[in-house]
Amino acid sequence: MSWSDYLAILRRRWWIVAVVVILDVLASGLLFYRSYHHAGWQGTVTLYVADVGATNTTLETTDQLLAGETAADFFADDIKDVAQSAAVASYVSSRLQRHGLPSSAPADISGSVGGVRTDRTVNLWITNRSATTALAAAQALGQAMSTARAKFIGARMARRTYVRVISPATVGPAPTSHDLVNFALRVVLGIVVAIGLALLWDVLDPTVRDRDDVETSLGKPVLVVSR
Amino acid sequence: MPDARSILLAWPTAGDARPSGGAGSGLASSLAEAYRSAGIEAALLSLPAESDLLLTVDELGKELSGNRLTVVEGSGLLDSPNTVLAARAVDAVVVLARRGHTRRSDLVASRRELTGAGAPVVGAVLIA
Repeated sequence: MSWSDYLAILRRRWWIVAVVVILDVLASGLLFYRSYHHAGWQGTVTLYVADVGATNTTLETTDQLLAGETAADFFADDIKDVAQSAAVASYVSSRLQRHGLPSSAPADISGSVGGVRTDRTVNLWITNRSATTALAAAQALGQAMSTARAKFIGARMARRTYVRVISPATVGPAPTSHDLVNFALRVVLGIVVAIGLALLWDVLDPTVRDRDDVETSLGKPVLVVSR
Repeated sequence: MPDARSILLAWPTAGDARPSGGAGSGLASSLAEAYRSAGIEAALLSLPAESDLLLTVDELGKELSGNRLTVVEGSGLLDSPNTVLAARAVDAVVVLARRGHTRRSDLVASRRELTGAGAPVVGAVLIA
């Protein structure tokens, strides 16, 4: 089949493509709208993590230095992971609810915490519908993972680590770029599915559709196309 | 079909013809009427579809004899042996197909039947 044959099929089955694409755009748009409006605000806090044991070494050799850095990296990873736990969410929620902040129930906090480690720096963020709550939650999150970290990682591990808030909590609109990308991907995927569905529908249709179909099946020319 | 004195119009199956006056039904009578309007003496012959009314080629030859032009309205090529027999006797066979209704497989089977019978198929009419 040539490109013109595929185009002819799409022209013939345009309604399948149209229906699927319209439904796809509506569904993707609804998801984008909900995502955009639910994204709300994002509070961010940055922590510095170090291995306390490393400071006690003489760091005379490269191996010792690397061992200390590696341990700090592991600890920073732990801090990032623990910050996203339900226990931390519950702690943050209890701190916020004391002040009667909106959207501060454990269910609002749990699952809204994210983080990324770069070397020994951990960037934590928390999203919330309320900007005030997002900022207060980021502050509480920083406190939970620095001064109160023994509650979550145990006193022994807390003693081995050094955690300090190096960038105070800030708040800003939650990023939505990923949602836009998702929206675009969903629409593109929907168009691909629509085209595939139209082609499949055409293949499965056993009846003649055009002059070519008749001429191919009968082996004779179509003399007249009557409407 | 400038020299054809008899033309058979036939569907692959009787179910392809729309019985209740839609596009394509009565095409043979319309063609005969068009010939008459153009001053050409034309007759319409409708073939019986039932197998117990099987015609012989000779009987059909008598019907088609004479100087007038005859438009033969066949039934389903795959349903009616009479239509295939008539296809052998006429000067030209035109197969009718309805878009979105006639099956490609029926057209292929009709082609096989007509080729086997040595019918002079000249082409098709596609009813949109």
